[in-house]
Amino acid sequence: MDVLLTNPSHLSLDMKSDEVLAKEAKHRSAAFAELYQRNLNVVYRYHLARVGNIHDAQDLTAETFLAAQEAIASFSGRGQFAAWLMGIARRKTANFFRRKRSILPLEAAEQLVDDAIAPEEFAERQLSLEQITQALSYLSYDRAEAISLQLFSGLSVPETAKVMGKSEGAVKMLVSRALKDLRIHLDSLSEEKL
Amino acid sequence: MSNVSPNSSDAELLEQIMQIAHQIEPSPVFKAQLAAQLIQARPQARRGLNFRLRHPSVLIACASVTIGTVCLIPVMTSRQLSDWMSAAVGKKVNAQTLAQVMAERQISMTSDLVEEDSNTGNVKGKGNISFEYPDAGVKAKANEILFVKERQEFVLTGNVQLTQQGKALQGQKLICAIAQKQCSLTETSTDSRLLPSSVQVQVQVIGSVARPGRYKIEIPNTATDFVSLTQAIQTAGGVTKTADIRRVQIRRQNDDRKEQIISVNLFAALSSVGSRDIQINSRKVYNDQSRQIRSTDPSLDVKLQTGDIIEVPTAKP
Repeated sequence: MDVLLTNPSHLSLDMKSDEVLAKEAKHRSAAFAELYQRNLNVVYRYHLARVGNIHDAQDLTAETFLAAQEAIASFSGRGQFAAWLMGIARRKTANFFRRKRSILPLEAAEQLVDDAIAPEEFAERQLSLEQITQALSYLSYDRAEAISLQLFSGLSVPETAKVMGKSEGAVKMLVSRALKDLRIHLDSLSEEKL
Repeated sequence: MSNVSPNSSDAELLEQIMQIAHQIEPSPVFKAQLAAQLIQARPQARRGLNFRLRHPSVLIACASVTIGTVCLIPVMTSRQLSDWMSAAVGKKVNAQTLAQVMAERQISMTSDLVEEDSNTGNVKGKGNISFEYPDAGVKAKANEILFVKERQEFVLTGNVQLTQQGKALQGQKLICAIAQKQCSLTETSTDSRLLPSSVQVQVQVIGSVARPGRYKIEIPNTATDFVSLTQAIQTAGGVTKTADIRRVQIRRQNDDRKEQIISVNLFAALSSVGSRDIQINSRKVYNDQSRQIRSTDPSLDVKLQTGDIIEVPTAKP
Protein backbone atom coordinates (compact mmCIF):
# COMPACT_ATOMS: atom_id res chain seq x y z
CA MET A 1 0.00 0.00 0.00
CA ASP A 2 2.91 2.31 0.81
CA VAL A 3 4.27 1.69 -2.63
CA LEU A 4 1.02 2.76 -4.17
CA LEU A 5 0.97 5.92 -2.15
CA THR A 6 4.52 6.90 -2.93
CA ASN A 7 4.58 6.00 -6.58
CA PRO A 8 3.35 9.07 -8.51
CA SER A 9 2.07 6.93 -11.35
CA HIS A 10 -0.50 5.42 -9.02
CA LEU A 11 -1.81 8.72 -7.75
CA SER A 12 -4.92 10.17 -9.26
CA LEU A 13 -4.26 13.06 -11.61
CA ASP A 14 -5.40 15.75 -9.23
CA MET A 15 -2.90 14.59 -6.60
CA LYS A 16 0.11 14.87 -8.86
CA SER A 17 2.41 17.83 -9.21
CA ASP A 18 2.46 19.85 -12.39
CA GLU A 19 5.89 18.52 -13.18
CA VAL A 20 4.84 14.87 -12.88
CA LEU A 21 1.79 15.58 -14.98
CA ALA A 22 3.90 17.33 -17.61
CA LYS A 23 6.00 14.20 -17.97
CA GLU A 24 2.90 12.04 -18.28
CA ALA A 25 1.33 14.46 -20.73
CA LYS A 26 3.88 13.38 -23.31
CA HIS A 27 2.02 10.10 -23.57
CA ARG A 28 -1.33 10.73 -21.92
CA SER A 29 -3.63 13.50 -23.00
CA ALA A 30 -5.64 13.32 -19.78
CA ALA A 31 -2.57 14.58 -17.95
CA PHE A 32 -2.38 17.61 -20.20
CA ALA A 33 -6.09 18.15 -19.65
CA GLU A 34 -5.42 18.33 -15.93
CA LEU A 35 -2.57 20.81 -16.49
CA TYR A 36 -4.88 22.88 -18.63
CA GLN A 37 -7.51 22.81 -15.93
CA ARG A 38 -5.02 23.92 -13.28
CA ASN A 39 -3.20 26.61 -15.18
CA LEU A 40 -5.85 28.16 -17.39
CA ASN A 41 -6.73 30.91 -14.94
CA VAL A 42 -3.20 32.13 -14.32
CA VAL A 43 -2.32 32.19 -18.00
CA TYR A 44 -5.53 34.02 -18.82
CA ARG A 45 -5.01 36.52 -16.00
CA TYR A 46 -1.51 37.25 -17.18
CA HIS A 47 -2.64 37.85 -20.76
CA LEU A 48 -5.59 39.98 -19.69
CA ALA A 49 -3.33 42.10 -17.52
CA ARG A 50 -0.88 42.55 -20.36
CA VAL A 51 -3.22 43.26 -23.27
CA GLY A 52 -6.13 44.78 -21.40
CA ASN A 53 -8.98 43.28 -23.37
CA ILE A 54 -10.79 39.98 -23.21
CA HIS A 55 -10.71 39.20 -26.90
CA ASP A 56 -6.92 39.40 -27.25
CA ALA A 57 -6.44 37.73 -23.87
CA GLN A 58 -8.48 34.75 -25.03
CA ASP A 59 -6.57 34.52 -28.30
CA LEU A 60 -3.23 34.63 -26.52
CA THR A 61 -4.35 32.11 -23.92
CA ALA A 62 -5.39 29.74 -26.66
CA GLU A 63 -2.09 30.26 -28.49
CA THR A 64 -0.20 29.60 -25.27
CA PHE A 65 -1.90 26.29 -24.51
CA LEU A 66 -1.79 25.10 -28.10
CA ALA A 67 1.93 25.81 -28.18
CA ALA A 68 2.41 24.16 -24.80
CA GLN A 69 0.59 21.04 -25.92
CA GLU A 70 2.65 20.89 -29.07
CA ALA A 71 5.90 21.37 -27.16
CA ILE A 72 5.15 19.34 -24.05
CA ALA A 73 7.67 16.71 -25.09
CA SER A 74 10.39 19.35 -24.82
CA PHE A 75 9.64 20.04 -21.16
CA SER A 76 12.66 18.59 -19.42
CA GLY A 77 11.04 18.30 -16.02
CA ARG A 78 13.99 19.88 -14.28
CA GLY A 79 12.36 23.27 -13.76
CA GLN A 80 8.95 24.40 -12.69
CA PHE A 81 6.17 23.69 -15.14
CA ALA A 82 4.52 27.03 -14.30
CA ALA A 83 7.66 28.90 -15.27
CA TRP A 84 7.93 26.91 -18.51
CA LEU A 85 4.31 27.61 -19.37
CA MET A 86 4.55 31.29 -18.51
CA GLY A 87 7.67 31.49 -20.66
CA ILE A 88 5.52 30.42 -23.59
CA ALA A 89 2.82 32.89 -22.56
CA ARG A 90 5.40 35.64 -22.39
CA ARG A 91 6.68 34.90 -25.89
CA LYS A 92 3.12 34.98 -27.21
CA THR A 93 2.60 38.36 -25.60
CA ALA A 94 5.85 39.65 -27.05
CA ASN A 95 4.78 38.50 -30.51
CA PHE A 96 1.43 40.15 -30.00
CA PHE A 97 2.97 43.49 -29.16
CA ARG A 98 5.41 43.11 -32.01
CA ARG A 99 2.52 42.58 -34.37
CA LYS A 100 0.49 45.40 -32.94
CA ARG A 101 3.49 47.67 -32.49
CA SER A 102 1.62 49.28 -29.68
CA ILE A 103 4.19 49.09 -26.95
CA LEU A 104 4.47 52.33 -25.18
CA PRO A 105 8.03 53.59 -25.29
CA LEU A 106 10.00 53.84 -22.12
CA GLU A 107 9.81 57.59 -22.42
CA ALA A 108 6.16 57.38 -21.53
CA ALA A 109 7.08 56.14 -18.12
CA GLU A 110 9.88 58.64 -17.72
CA GLN A 111 7.59 61.53 -18.53
CA LEU A 112 5.54 60.84 -15.47
CA VAL A 113 5.63 63.31 -12.72
CA ASP A 114 6.24 61.82 -9.38
CA ASP A 115 3.01 63.05 -7.92
CA ALA A 116 1.62 59.79 -6.69
CA ILE A 117 -1.52 59.96 -4.67
CA ALA A 118 -1.25 59.90 -0.96
CA PRO A 119 -0.86 56.42 0.46
CA GLU A 120 -3.92 56.73 2.66
CA GLU A 121 -6.12 57.29 -0.38
CA PHE A 122 -5.31 53.89 -1.69
CA ALA A 123 -6.81 52.25 1.33
CA GLU A 124 -10.12 53.86 0.57
CA ARG A 125 -10.09 53.36 -3.15
CA GLN A 126 -11.63 50.49 -4.95
CA LEU A 127 -9.67 49.80 -8.03
CA SER A 128 -11.20 48.25 -11.06
CA LEU A 129 -9.62 45.76 -13.41
CA GLU A 130 -10.06 48.20 -16.25
CA GLN A 131 -8.13 50.88 -14.38
CA ILE A 132 -5.32 48.49 -13.57
CA THR A 133 -4.93 47.13 -17.08
CA GLN A 134 -5.00 50.63 -18.47
CA ALA A 135 -2.39 51.75 -15.99
CA LEU A 136 -0.31 48.67 -16.76
CA SER A 137 -0.34 49.60 -20.42
CA TYR A 138 1.57 52.79 -19.57
CA LEU A 139 4.34 50.93 -17.80
CA SER A 140 7.61 50.02 -19.41
CA TYR A 141 7.62 46.57 -20.94
CA ASP A 142 9.76 44.87 -18.30
CA ARG A 143 7.97 46.49 -15.39
CA ALA A 144 4.58 45.46 -16.75
CA GLU A 145 5.91 41.97 -17.35
CA ALA A 146 7.32 41.61 -13.87
CA ILE A 147 4.19 42.77 -12.11
CA SER A 148 1.86 40.77 -14.37
CA LEU A 149 3.83 37.58 -13.87
CA GLN A 150 3.96 38.04 -10.13
CA LEU A 151 0.55 39.40 -9.33
CA PHE A 152 -1.64 37.98 -12.06
CA SER A 153 0.08 34.65 -12.69
CA GLY A 154 1.13 34.13 -9.12
CA LEU A 155 4.74 33.34 -9.89
CA SER A 156 7.28 33.71 -7.13
CA VAL A 157 10.21 36.10 -7.45
CA PRO A 158 12.62 33.27 -8.41
CA GLU A 159 10.13 31.95 -10.97
CA THR A 160 9.57 35.40 -12.42
CA ALA A 161 13.31 35.92 -12.56
CA LYS A 162 13.76 32.68 -14.44
CA VAL A 163 10.98 33.42 -16.91
CA MET A 164 12.32 36.89 -17.56
CA GLY A 165 15.95 35.85 -17.62
CA LYS A 166 16.87 38.31 -14.90
CA SER A 167 18.24 38.16 -11.40
CA GLU A 168 15.88 38.06 -8.47
CA GLY A 169 17.14 41.45 -7.34
CA ALA A 170 16.34 42.92 -10.72
CA VAL A 171 12.82 41.49 -10.58
CA LYS A 172 12.23 42.93 -7.13
CA MET A 173 13.40 46.29 -8.40
CA LEU A 174 11.15 46.06 -11.45
CA VAL A 175 8.13 45.23 -9.33
CA SER A 176 8.86 48.01 -6.90
CA ARG A 177 9.17 50.55 -9.68
CA ALA A 178 6.14 49.14 -11.42
CA LEU A 179 4.07 49.70 -8.30
CA LYS A 180 5.29 53.23 -8.04
CA ASP A 181 4.40 53.87 -11.69
CA LEU A 182 1.05 52.20 -11.26
CA ARG A 183 0.12 54.46 -8.39
CA ILE A 184 0.95 57.50 -10.50
CA HIS A 185 -1.06 56.29 -13.47
CA LEU A 186 -3.98 55.14 -11.39
CA ASP A 187 -4.07 58.55 -9.84
CA SER A 188 -4.10 60.34 -13.16
CA LEU A 189 -6.72 57.95 -14.48
CA SER A 190 -9.01 58.66 -11.56
CA GLU A 191 -8.47 62.39 -12.06
CA GLU A 192 -9.48 62.04 -15.71
CA LYS A 193 -12.70 60.44 -14.58
CA LEU A 194 -13.57 63.32 -12.32
CA MET B 1 -4.79 56.61 7.77
CA SER B 2 -2.52 59.59 7.41
CA ASN B 3 0.33 57.77 9.10
CA VAL B 4 0.47 55.04 6.49
CA SER B 5 4.01 54.75 5.21
CA PRO B 6 4.87 54.55 1.54
CA ASN B 7 5.77 50.89 2.01
CA SER B 8 2.43 50.05 3.50
CA SER B 9 0.71 51.76 0.59
CA ASP B 10 2.64 49.49 -1.76
CA ALA B 11 1.41 46.55 0.25
CA GLU B 12 -2.16 47.75 0.03
CA LEU B 13 -1.89 48.37 -3.67
CA LEU B 14 -0.43 44.92 -4.09
CA GLU B 15 -3.25 43.43 -2.11
CA GLN B 16 -5.89 45.24 -4.10
CA ILE B 17 -4.37 44.20 -7.41
CA MET B 18 -4.08 40.61 -6.24
CA GLN B 19 -7.68 40.60 -5.10
CA ILE B 20 -8.76 41.82 -8.49
CA ALA B 21 -6.46 39.34 -10.23
CA HIS B 22 -8.01 36.45 -8.33
CA GLN B 23 -11.44 37.46 -9.45
CA ILE B 24 -10.49 37.12 -13.10
CA GLU B 25 -11.66 33.91 -14.69
CA PRO B 26 -12.15 33.06 -18.31
CA SER B 27 -15.73 32.47 -19.30
CA PRO B 28 -16.90 28.83 -19.20
CA VAL B 29 -17.68 29.07 -22.90
CA PHE B 30 -14.14 30.13 -23.75
CA LYS B 31 -12.79 27.48 -21.40
CA ALA B 32 -14.69 24.73 -23.17
CA GLN B 33 -13.96 26.14 -26.61
CA LEU B 34 -10.26 26.11 -25.88
CA ALA B 35 -10.53 22.56 -24.56
CA ALA B 36 -12.15 21.68 -27.88
CA GLN B 37 -9.37 23.39 -29.80
CA LEU B 38 -6.76 21.49 -27.82
CA ILE B 39 -8.49 18.19 -28.48
CA GLN B 40 -8.57 18.82 -32.17
CA ALA B 41 -5.01 20.07 -32.29
CA ARG B 42 -3.36 17.48 -30.14
CA PRO B 43 -0.55 15.60 -31.86
CA GLN B 44 -2.12 12.20 -31.24
CA ALA B 45 -5.26 13.21 -33.06
CA ARG B 46 -3.37 14.55 -36.02
CA ARG B 47 -1.47 11.29 -36.39
CA GLY B 48 -4.71 9.41 -36.91
CA LEU B 49 -5.16 9.06 -40.63
CA ASN B 50 -8.89 8.94 -40.40
CA PHE B 51 -9.30 11.75 -37.93
CA ARG B 52 -11.96 13.87 -39.50
CA LEU B 53 -14.62 15.79 -37.74
CA ARG B 54 -17.90 15.44 -39.50
CA HIS B 55 -19.19 18.72 -38.26
CA PRO B 56 -16.22 20.59 -36.86
CA SER B 57 -18.27 23.69 -36.32
CA VAL B 58 -20.86 21.89 -34.23
CA LEU B 59 -20.47 22.50 -30.56
CA ILE B 60 -23.07 21.27 -28.20
CA ALA B 61 -24.10 23.76 -25.61
CA CYS B 62 -24.67 22.20 -22.26
CA ALA B 63 -26.60 24.59 -20.13
CA SER B 64 -26.76 23.97 -16.46
CA VAL B 65 -29.72 25.56 -14.80
CA THR B 66 -28.59 24.63 -11.32
CA ILE B 67 -25.08 26.00 -11.28
CA GLY B 68 -25.47 28.54 -14.00
CA THR B 69 -22.64 27.40 -16.21
CA VAL B 70 -22.47 26.75 -19.86
CA CYS B 71 -20.17 24.24 -21.39
CA LEU B 72 -19.45 23.45 -24.95
CA ILE B 73 -18.22 20.05 -25.89
CA PRO B 74 -16.97 19.49 -29.38
CA VAL B 75 -17.50 16.69 -31.76
CA MET B 76 -15.06 14.10 -30.50
CA THR B 77 -14.32 10.45 -30.46
CA SER B 78 -15.24 8.42 -27.47
CA ARG B 79 -11.59 8.12 -26.52
CA GLN B 80 -11.29 11.86 -26.59
CA LEU B 81 -14.42 12.05 -24.56
CA SER B 82 -12.96 10.08 -21.71
CA ASP B 83 -9.68 11.96 -21.84
CA TRP B 84 -11.22 15.35 -21.85
CA MET B 85 -14.46 15.07 -20.02
CA SER B 86 -12.81 16.31 -16.87
CA ALA B 87 -11.22 19.26 -18.59
CA ALA B 88 -14.37 20.33 -20.26
CA VAL B 89 -16.97 19.87 -17.58
CA GLY B 90 -15.13 19.24 -14.36
CA LYS B 91 -14.61 16.13 -12.31
CA LYS B 92 -18.13 15.87 -11.05
CA VAL B 93 -20.97 17.82 -12.41
CA ASN B 94 -24.27 18.11 -10.65
CA ALA B 95 -26.35 19.52 -13.40
CA GLN B 96 -29.17 18.47 -15.54
CA THR B 97 -28.27 17.43 -19.04
CA LEU B 98 -24.78 18.69 -18.62
CA ALA B 99 -22.86 16.25 -20.69
CA GLN B 100 -24.21 15.85 -24.14
CA VAL B 101 -21.42 14.67 -26.30
CA MET B 102 -21.45 14.09 -29.98
CA ALA B 103 -18.74 11.70 -30.92
CA GLU B 104 -17.05 11.39 -34.25
CA ARG B 105 -19.55 8.69 -34.96
CA GLN B 106 -22.37 10.92 -33.86
CA ILE B 107 -22.81 9.10 -30.57
CA SER B 108 -24.62 11.27 -28.14
CA MET B 109 -25.54 10.83 -24.52
CA THR B 110 -27.12 12.88 -21.81
CA SER B 111 -27.20 12.24 -18.10
CA ASP B 112 -27.80 13.99 -14.83
CA LEU B 113 -24.35 13.27 -13.47
CA VAL B 114 -21.05 12.51 -15.12
CA GLU B 115 -17.99 11.09 -13.43
CA GLU B 116 -14.65 10.17 -14.87
CA ASP B 117 -12.31 7.61 -13.37
CA SER B 118 -8.94 9.17 -13.99
CA ASN B 119 -7.14 5.85 -13.51
CA THR B 120 -9.09 3.85 -16.04
CA GLY B 121 -10.33 6.66 -18.23
CA ASN B 122 -13.82 5.24 -17.94
CA VAL B 123 -16.70 7.70 -17.90
CA LYS B 124 -19.87 6.99 -15.99
CA GLY B 125 -23.17 8.78 -16.42
CA LYS B 126 -25.98 8.42 -13.91
CA GLY B 127 -29.64 9.30 -14.02
CA ASN B 128 -31.98 9.84 -16.95
CA ILE B 129 -29.61 8.43 -19.52
CA SER B 130 -30.45 9.12 -23.11
CA PHE B 131 -28.17 7.45 -25.61
CA GLU B 132 -28.13 7.59 -29.38
CA TYR B 133 -25.87 5.62 -31.69
CA PRO B 134 -26.99 6.24 -35.27
CA ASP B 135 -24.37 3.95 -36.83
CA ALA B 136 -25.98 1.05 -35.01
CA GLY B 137 -29.45 2.46 -35.50
CA VAL B 138 -29.93 2.54 -31.75
CA LYS B 139 -31.70 4.94 -29.44
CA ALA B 140 -31.92 3.98 -25.78
CA LYS B 141 -32.84 5.19 -22.35
CA ALA B 142 -31.45 3.71 -19.13
CA ASN B 143 -30.54 4.46 -15.53
CA GLU B 144 -26.76 4.31 -15.96
CA ILE B 145 -24.22 4.40 -18.71
CA LEU B 146 -20.57 3.45 -18.55
CA PHE B 147 -18.03 4.12 -21.25
CA VAL B 148 -15.33 1.47 -20.92
CA LYS B 149 -12.28 3.06 -22.46
CA GLU B 150 -10.19 -0.08 -22.78
CA ARG B 151 -12.86 -2.01 -24.65
CA GLN B 152 -14.31 1.03 -26.40
CA GLU B 153 -17.77 0.03 -25.31
CA PHE B 154 -20.80 1.81 -24.00
CA VAL B 155 -22.64 -0.24 -21.38
CA LEU B 156 -26.14 0.89 -20.46
CA THR B 157 -27.74 -0.68 -17.39
CA GLY B 158 -30.95 -0.51 -15.47
CA ASN B 159 -34.34 -0.51 -17.17
CA VAL B 160 -32.93 -0.21 -20.66
CA GLN B 161 -35.53 0.88 -23.16
CA LEU B 162 -34.35 0.58 -26.68
CA THR B 163 -35.61 1.31 -30.14
CA GLN B 164 -33.84 0.03 -33.19
CA GLN B 165 -35.29 0.52 -36.63
CA GLY B 166 -38.76 0.95 -35.29
CA LYS B 167 -38.62 -2.01 -32.90
CA ALA B 168 -39.08 -1.35 -29.21
CA LEU B 169 -37.15 -3.59 -26.83
CA GLN B 170 -36.61 -3.71 -23.10
CA GLY B 171 -33.77 -5.24 -21.13
CA GLN B 172 -31.34 -4.83 -18.27
CA LYS B 173 -28.09 -4.32 -20.12
CA LEU B 174 -27.19 -2.93 -23.51
CA ILE B 175 -23.61 -3.17 -24.73
CA CYS B 176 -22.57 -1.19 -27.79
CA ALA B 177 -19.14 -1.89 -29.23
CA ILE B 178 -17.83 0.98 -31.28
CA ALA B 179 -15.49 -1.09 -33.43
CA GLN B 180 -18.23 -3.50 -34.45
CA LYS B 181 -20.87 -0.76 -34.76
CA GLN B 182 -23.12 -3.25 -33.05
CA CYS B 183 -25.12 -3.45 -29.87
CA SER B 184 -26.43 -6.40 -27.90
CA LEU B 185 -29.21 -6.37 -25.37
CA THR B 186 -29.33 -8.91 -22.57
CA GLU B 187 -32.00 -10.07 -20.15
CA THR B 188 -34.70 -9.00 -22.48
CA SER B 189 -38.22 -10.22 -23.01
CA THR B 190 -37.88 -10.08 -26.77
CA ASP B 191 -34.90 -10.44 -29.11
CA SER B 192 -31.65 -10.79 -27.22
CA ARG B 193 -29.46 -10.04 -30.17
CA LEU B 194 -29.87 -6.95 -32.20
CA LEU B 195 -29.34 -6.78 -35.86
CA PRO B 196 -26.20 -5.31 -37.35
CA SER B 197 -26.87 -1.78 -38.43
CA SER B 198 -26.48 -2.43 -42.12
CA VAL B 199 -26.08 -5.11 -44.72
CA GLN B 200 -23.25 -4.88 -47.19
CA VAL B 201 -22.25 -7.07 -50.13
CA GLN B 202 -19.67 -6.73 -52.87
CA VAL B 203 -20.72 -7.99 -56.26
CA GLN B 204 -19.78 -7.69 -59.91
CA VAL B 205 -22.35 -6.77 -62.53
CA ILE B 206 -21.45 -7.54 -66.12
CA GLY B 207 -23.20 -7.68 -69.50
CA SER B 208 -26.01 -5.48 -70.72
CA VAL B 209 -26.10 -2.92 -67.97
CA ALA B 210 -25.33 0.76 -68.18
CA ARG B 211 -22.24 0.68 -65.96
CA PRO B 212 -20.74 -2.79 -65.67
CA GLY B 213 -18.32 -3.16 -62.78
CA ARG B 214 -17.69 -4.14 -59.18
CA TYR B 215 -19.96 -2.57 -56.59
CA LYS B 216 -20.16 -2.43 -52.86
CA ILE B 217 -23.82 -2.16 -51.96
CA GLU B 218 -24.91 -1.26 -48.45
CA ILE B 219 -28.44 -0.90 -47.20
CA PRO B 220 -29.89 -0.28 -43.73
CA ASN B 221 -30.71 -3.53 -42.04
CA THR B 222 -34.15 -4.64 -41.00
CA ALA B 223 -35.44 -8.11 -40.37
CA THR B 224 -36.61 -8.46 -43.97
CA ASP B 225 -33.98 -6.50 -45.85
CA PHE B 226 -31.22 -7.93 -47.98
CA VAL B 227 -29.21 -6.76 -50.94
CA SER B 228 -31.10 -8.05 -53.94
CA LEU B 229 -30.43 -8.78 -57.58
CA THR B 230 -32.58 -5.88 -58.68
CA GLN B 231 -30.68 -3.54 -56.38
CA ALA B 232 -27.41 -4.63 -57.90
CA ILE B 233 -28.68 -4.03 -61.42
CA GLN B 234 -30.07 -0.72 -60.28
CA THR B 235 -26.69 0.22 -58.82
CA ALA B 236 -25.09 -0.65 -62.15
CA GLY B 237 -27.31 1.90 -63.83
CA GLY B 238 -30.07 -0.43 -64.99
CA VAL B 239 -30.25 -2.62 -68.07
CA THR B 240 -29.54 -1.53 -71.63
CA LYS B 241 -32.10 -1.64 -74.41
CA THR B 242 -30.66 -4.89 -75.68
CA ALA B 243 -30.72 -6.71 -72.33
CA ASP B 244 -32.46 -10.04 -72.00
CA ILE B 245 -33.82 -9.97 -68.50
CA ARG B 246 -35.39 -13.44 -68.87
CA ARG B 247 -31.96 -15.08 -68.65
CA VAL B 248 -30.10 -13.19 -65.92
CA GLN B 249 -27.48 -15.34 -64.26
CA ILE B 250 -25.87 -15.17 -60.86
CA ARG B 251 -22.58 -17.01 -60.54
CA ARG B 252 -21.74 -17.87 -56.98
CA GLN B 253 -18.80 -19.65 -55.41
CA ASN B 254 -19.97 -22.07 -52.77
CA ASP B 255 -18.05 -22.96 -49.65
CA ASP B 256 -16.53 -25.95 -51.46
CA ARG B 257 -15.30 -23.53 -54.14
CA LYS B 258 -17.63 -24.95 -56.73
CA GLU B 259 -19.44 -22.45 -58.90
CA GLN B 260 -23.18 -22.37 -58.65
CA ILE B 261 -25.21 -20.71 -61.38
CA ILE B 262 -28.58 -19.27 -60.48
CA SER B 263 -30.80 -18.36 -63.40
CA VAL B 264 -33.37 -15.68 -62.84
CA ASN B 265 -36.24 -14.68 -65.09
CA LEU B 266 -36.63 -11.10 -64.02
CA PHE B 267 -39.34 -10.57 -66.64
CA ALA B 268 -41.51 -13.11 -64.86
CA ALA B 269 -40.85 -11.49 -61.56
CA LEU B 270 -41.84 -8.14 -62.91
CA SER B 271 -44.95 -9.55 -64.56
CA SER B 272 -46.05 -11.24 -61.39
CA VAL B 273 -46.64 -7.98 -59.61
CA GLY B 274 -49.15 -6.97 -62.24
CA SER B 275 -47.15 -4.39 -64.05
CA ARG B 276 -48.13 -5.24 -67.58
CA ASP B 277 -47.13 -1.94 -68.98
CA ILE B 278 -43.55 -2.24 -67.87
CA GLN B 279 -41.11 -0.98 -70.41
CA ILE B 280 -38.35 -3.30 -69.48
CA ASN B 281 -35.78 -1.69 -71.69
CA SER B 282 -36.38 1.72 -70.19
CA ARG B 283 -33.84 2.00 -67.43
CA LYS B 284 -35.78 4.49 -65.36
CA VAL B 285 -38.98 2.55 -65.33
CA TYR B 286 -37.10 -0.62 -64.67
CA ASN B 287 -35.41 0.88 -61.62
CA ASP B 288 -38.72 2.08 -60.27
CA GLN B 289 -40.18 -1.35 -60.90
CA SER B 290 -37.25 -2.96 -59.09
CA ARG B 291 -38.16 -1.13 -55.99
CA GLN B 292 -41.76 -2.17 -56.46
CA ILE B 293 -40.73 -5.80 -56.53
CA ARG B 294 -38.92 -5.50 -53.28
CA SER B 295 -41.65 -3.70 -51.50
CA THR B 296 -44.41 -5.90 -52.85
CA ASP B 297 -42.90 -9.32 -52.51
CA PRO B 298 -39.22 -9.62 -51.62
CA SER B 299 -39.32 -13.36 -52.13
CA LEU B 300 -39.51 -12.82 -55.87
CA ASP B 301 -36.13 -11.14 -55.82
CA VAL B 302 -32.83 -12.92 -55.21
CA LYS B 303 -30.69 -12.36 -52.18
CA LEU B 304 -27.10 -11.65 -53.18
CA GLN B 305 -23.93 -12.66 -51.42
CA THR B 306 -20.49 -11.10 -51.48
CA GLY B 307 -18.56 -12.40 -54.48
CA ASP B 308 -21.61 -12.95 -56.69
CA ILE B 309 -21.19 -12.17 -60.37
CA ILE B 310 -24.38 -11.01 -62.04
CA GLU B 311 -24.53 -11.35 -65.77
CA VAL B 312 -27.28 -9.68 -67.77
CA PRO B 313 -27.09 -11.20 -71.25
CA THR B 314 -27.84 -9.44 -74.50
CA ALA B 315 -31.10 -10.44 -76.17
CA LYS B 316 -30.67 -12.50 -79.31
CA PRO B 317 -32.06 -10.82 -82.43
